[in-house]
Amino acid sequence: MSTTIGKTLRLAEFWQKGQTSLLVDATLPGALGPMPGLEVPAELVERLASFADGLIVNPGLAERYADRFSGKLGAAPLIRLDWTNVVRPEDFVLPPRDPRRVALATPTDAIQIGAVAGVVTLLLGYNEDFEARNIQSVALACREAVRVSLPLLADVVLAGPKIEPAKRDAAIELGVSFMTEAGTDGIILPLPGPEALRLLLDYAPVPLFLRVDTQPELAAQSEALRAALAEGGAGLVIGSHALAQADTTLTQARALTQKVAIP
Amino acid sequence: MNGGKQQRLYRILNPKDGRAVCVAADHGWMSDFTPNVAELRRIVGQVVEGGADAILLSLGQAMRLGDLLKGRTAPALLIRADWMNMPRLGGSNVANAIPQQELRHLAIASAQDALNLGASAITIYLFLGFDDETEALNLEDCALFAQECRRIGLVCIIEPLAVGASVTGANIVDILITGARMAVEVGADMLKIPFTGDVETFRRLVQTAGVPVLALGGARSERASDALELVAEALEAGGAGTVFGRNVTKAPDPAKMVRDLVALVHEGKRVEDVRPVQRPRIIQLKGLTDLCTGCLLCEVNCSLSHDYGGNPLYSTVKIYTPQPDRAIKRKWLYTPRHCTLCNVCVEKCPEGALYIANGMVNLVEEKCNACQECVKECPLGVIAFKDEHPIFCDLCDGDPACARTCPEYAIFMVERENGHGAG
Repeated sequence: MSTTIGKTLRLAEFWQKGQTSLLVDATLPGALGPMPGLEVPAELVERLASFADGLIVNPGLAERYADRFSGKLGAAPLIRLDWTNVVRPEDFVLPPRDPRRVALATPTDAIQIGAVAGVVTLLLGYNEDFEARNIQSVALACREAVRVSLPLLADVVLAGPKIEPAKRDAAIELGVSFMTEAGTDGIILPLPGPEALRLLLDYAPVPLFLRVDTQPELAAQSEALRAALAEGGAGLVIGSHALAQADTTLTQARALTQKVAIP
Repeated sequence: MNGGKQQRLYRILNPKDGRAVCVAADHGWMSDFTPNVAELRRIVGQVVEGGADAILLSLGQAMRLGDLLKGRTAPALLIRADWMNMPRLGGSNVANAIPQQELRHLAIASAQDALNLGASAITIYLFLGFDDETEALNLEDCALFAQECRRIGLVCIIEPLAVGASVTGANIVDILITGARMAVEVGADMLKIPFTGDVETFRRLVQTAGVPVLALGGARSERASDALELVAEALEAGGAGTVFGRNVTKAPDPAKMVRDLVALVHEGKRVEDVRPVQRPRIIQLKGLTDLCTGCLLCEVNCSLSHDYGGNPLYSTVKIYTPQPDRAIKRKWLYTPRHCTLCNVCVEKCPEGALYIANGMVNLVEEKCNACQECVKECPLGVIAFKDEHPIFCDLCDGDPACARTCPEYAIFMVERENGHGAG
């Protein structure tokens, strides 16, 4: 039986060709505990769901607060399928000694919880074993996602010690290439330089969403982001750190995705 | 309720009011190849345009038409997970190309198949009123579907129907209420069920169920406002909305019908707000013997327009063919006959079930005991009989099919000049 239509319908709940979407990633409390703006789980789901086209949450919140997504009136639920400690800063109460990434849920779990997509992380810049296991895990999730008709987005994160600022764009290109080959249905990436972005938009057969992690980053990159969306970027993904002043951040981000002036 | 079910339930029900306007477009899977089946893509497009909350399709049509349902606000997809031959059984009101005598009902897809296609729910029948084995096996199927839905986070909609030989006018409401409760006990998250006929009994059914109850429309009502009244009453009784099939898919303008349903279900509008009552123009039919060629198109189209499969037996216009008139050289004379409101049937009905209003004979179904006295007494022989009910000319909502399609204009309509029938 053809199940392509299942992926198509689910992807279309938060993005369609020609549309620029706003996705909000509220998953960092899963590694960092309560964060400013994301202290109360039920509230964060309800408030953020009213702002965005898609809300990325961890499996537990998606399950417990399913009713707060408000169906068609709110954001579509996307579930992060993995967890990592590399997002923890050195001064965190439990500082990371070794980078770790583990799976929290499978595409089948995500479908059962009611997600319209899963999000998996590709952490680049760490040692060979870490990278290989990460890629294998993403590839296996892709195969399972095909079986259950779940669109899978890969979140390309440049985090390890091997990332050189001078080769940042090349690292992003590598990540997008890996995730395209693995079979993901969409890719979340940091904003690359204009040339690399153009190359990737030409190359990638899947929607490319641009990640913005903080409020200052959004403010500083707003013009570059506007240009990237105009060139074919599929939308913005606003990270958890940027949600301390969620109303301001998301109003600005919404203006960018709707291609109107930032208020 | 698990997260998946909750998310998908809110794809069907509007979370603000807990109600839904659903459209069933799965008829091609179980009954004849009618225009609403042949033109499904166009009709589904109009249902989407009208703003339906969900649409029920067969698995095959979902694969082909799923692209029409893209987008967060598009109708949720409901999948018909079973198949049955009930519309083709002798007593059905649907046109019948290959009649069947015994009910057959089978599961044809898993809930997982439906989930893979992006569905928010599956719908399955629960037939009541047939023999004990049919009921038990059907309930077992429902339980298996409910278990699978629970496991994978899909909404399970059960559709209890009271249609077997044990069903009578006297017990149908109790059977439906029993079916509603059985469906919920076995694991239904929502019900799709016929309206019981009045607010009080439907309220009892809704309270018994304890899950959202969607009233189904059944065969297409002759007047859209009748179908909308059904919805209004179901809502008044606490129903969560409606699953309309032929009343939408066979409507002249499906998008308008869906918009009207949305106005009723979600916007609190009344039937008279969406379909203002127009003072009816009282019309009558006239037939001219001189022009009639006896082609019988009027009889066939009368039957077709009322979903009787074109069988002239069920037509309420008849072509009278006497012996040839020798005086005019063996030319045959044909006379279109139609109801003239002579009142004989009304007077002869032993139950007082007939009255004349709006230019036609009207039947009070609850009073009719199917004695066929009216059929026998009609001096023109224009009262048909089917499914234990007499059929009277209803003037096709003001646009009689016989007059519309007569190639010789031998039967036509005129304004009724006297007050007879103004009701």
